[in-house]
Amino acid sequence: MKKTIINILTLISFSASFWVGPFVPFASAAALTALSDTLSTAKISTLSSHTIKFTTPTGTSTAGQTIVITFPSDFDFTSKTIGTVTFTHGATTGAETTETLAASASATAWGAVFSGTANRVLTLTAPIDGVGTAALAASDKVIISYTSANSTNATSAGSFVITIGGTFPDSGSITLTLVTNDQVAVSATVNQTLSFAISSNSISFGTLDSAAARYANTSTGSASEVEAHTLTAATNSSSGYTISVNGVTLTAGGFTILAIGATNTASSAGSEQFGLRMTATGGSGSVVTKYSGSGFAYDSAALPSAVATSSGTSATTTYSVRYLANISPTTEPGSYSTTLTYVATGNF
Amino acid sequence: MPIKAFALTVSPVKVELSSDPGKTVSSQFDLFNEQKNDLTLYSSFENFEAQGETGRPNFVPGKEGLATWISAPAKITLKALEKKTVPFTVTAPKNADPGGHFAAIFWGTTPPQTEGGQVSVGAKVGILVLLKVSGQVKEGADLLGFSTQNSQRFFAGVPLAFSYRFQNSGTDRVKPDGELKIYNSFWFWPAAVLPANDGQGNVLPGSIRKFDVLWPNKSNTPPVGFWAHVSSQWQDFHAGAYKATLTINYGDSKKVVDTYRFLIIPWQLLLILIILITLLFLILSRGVKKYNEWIISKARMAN
Repeated sequence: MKKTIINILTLISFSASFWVGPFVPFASAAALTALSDTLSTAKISTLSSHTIKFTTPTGTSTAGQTIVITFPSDFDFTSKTIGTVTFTHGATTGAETTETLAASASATAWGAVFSGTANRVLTLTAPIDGVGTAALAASDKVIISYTSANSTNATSAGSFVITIGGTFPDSGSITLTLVTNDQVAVSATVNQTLSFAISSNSISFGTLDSAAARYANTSTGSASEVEAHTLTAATNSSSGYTISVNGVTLTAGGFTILAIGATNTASSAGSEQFGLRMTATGGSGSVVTKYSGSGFAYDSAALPSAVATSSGTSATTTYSVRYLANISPTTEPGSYSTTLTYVATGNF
Repeated sequence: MPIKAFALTVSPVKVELSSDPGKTVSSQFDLFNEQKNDLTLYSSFENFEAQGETGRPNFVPGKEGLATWISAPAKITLKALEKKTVPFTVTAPKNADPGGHFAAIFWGTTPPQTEGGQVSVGAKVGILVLLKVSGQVKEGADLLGFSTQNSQRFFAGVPLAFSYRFQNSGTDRVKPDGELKIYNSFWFWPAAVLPANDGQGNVLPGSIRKFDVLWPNKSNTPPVGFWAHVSSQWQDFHAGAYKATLTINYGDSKKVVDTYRFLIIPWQLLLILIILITLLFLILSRGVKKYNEWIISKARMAN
């Protein structure tokens, strides 16, 4: 009988434990997730800030529970104060709630204490009410930031493990890597260039007439001023460039049509004239004065004759070149032609 | 891209070399055919000297001198949009004069044959070669003049253009280096520090070169019109007596210094300020007078 009663009581106690058990809160530790530590510099022996992030599956709202962050040996946080540490958490970014840190936990503040060799251990103690500004909820993202003040990286390169633990339910570790030199030298070379182009290498006046001026174009000439061809030039050289023209005036055997000369002169039908003028658009290039006026010029006495220039770097300048030919009633008949060469060089 | 008869890019624009007499130096340049068709280029060489005081080269066909010391391919064909690196050498004769020698390597096409009434247009691009041959090189340079453009002494504001002429009486090229510092007579720190040779130009032996230095305004464009001057003078306020000091370093630790004094009187801005102050004074004095009249009339009524 006595043995039966003992068995029955044992059976009841055993069964009750399954009923009582679920109502007794018991700690279930979980692994922290999304752990990271972002440094301002990964260079050894250098002051660096740390931004430690993790997600706590369990959270904590128990007074006195601690979150302990431990740096490995050789990191130096000597003289670091809790004023250089921030602790935030929240459901979305981790920055929603900023907790107050104090030397010891209170109803409104987390305790924060550096300890250990070179202050490598930071112990955060939950507020007396377990909440502080806001409860560290399950699945909250946590951000614990150290400024770079009194925060020196280890003196050797390699991998180091930061552990996160304490009496709060979750734990984890972060591996970070330090390097001897975290700077990458970048260099690039931009060479000086000069670009030069002409649009056409054959132009014609057609048949010249002492009664009216003729202007060259790419077909059979024109009775009114037209663009014969273009020149384009561009450079990134700080000295700029010069374009010159070289070549004799219109010639047929031993006969020539007089070049206008160095002075910009209006067209005069019935007088021998050969000349050119130019306009410039774009870039920083400009036409030399004698060739930029409304009249024409051709400085055959001083060849090669500079026609355009840029004193420094210049995006593409397009020069529109026009040619004039006039003859007199006594100009010798013949097939007049010439070859003009435009030369572009940088300035020295 | 419009069709071009000739489109070529060369790099670098100038090559600066040094050599001992009797020795050969090597260098290279790039040619880039910017056309969508093949381009055959022919090389030619000419010496150059200074043309005026502008830094523009004046080419002289050379049967002697550096133009004849350069060796480069006579002909190169570039495919459409092809870039080619072309090596060249310079061999200075054993009896080459010490100092500077200057020439250009030209690349051009052969213009088409001309017919009656036609003008055949050719093009060439040149790469400048500046060679220094070692030996006893005579150095000599001088500042021939430093002033604002047109030697003006009175200005309303910036931008303000300066120019100086630098003479090289030595036997090698000189690259003036230095700065132009502008001080207001009331302040210890400079109102502006400007590079004296921003374009890194050279002065060839036996020549004079004029350099321009600009003290710019914030907008980098000269103001046009009264109100544009007022705005520019407000944004870049300068007033008073100024002293510009030009310091040029050249050669082996040599230096020349010159100064120029001028005045800046931002009269357009001052005129507006005077008008505004006068108006303010008139308004305030009238206001005080009206107030006094009101006080007196009130006092009379009270009595």
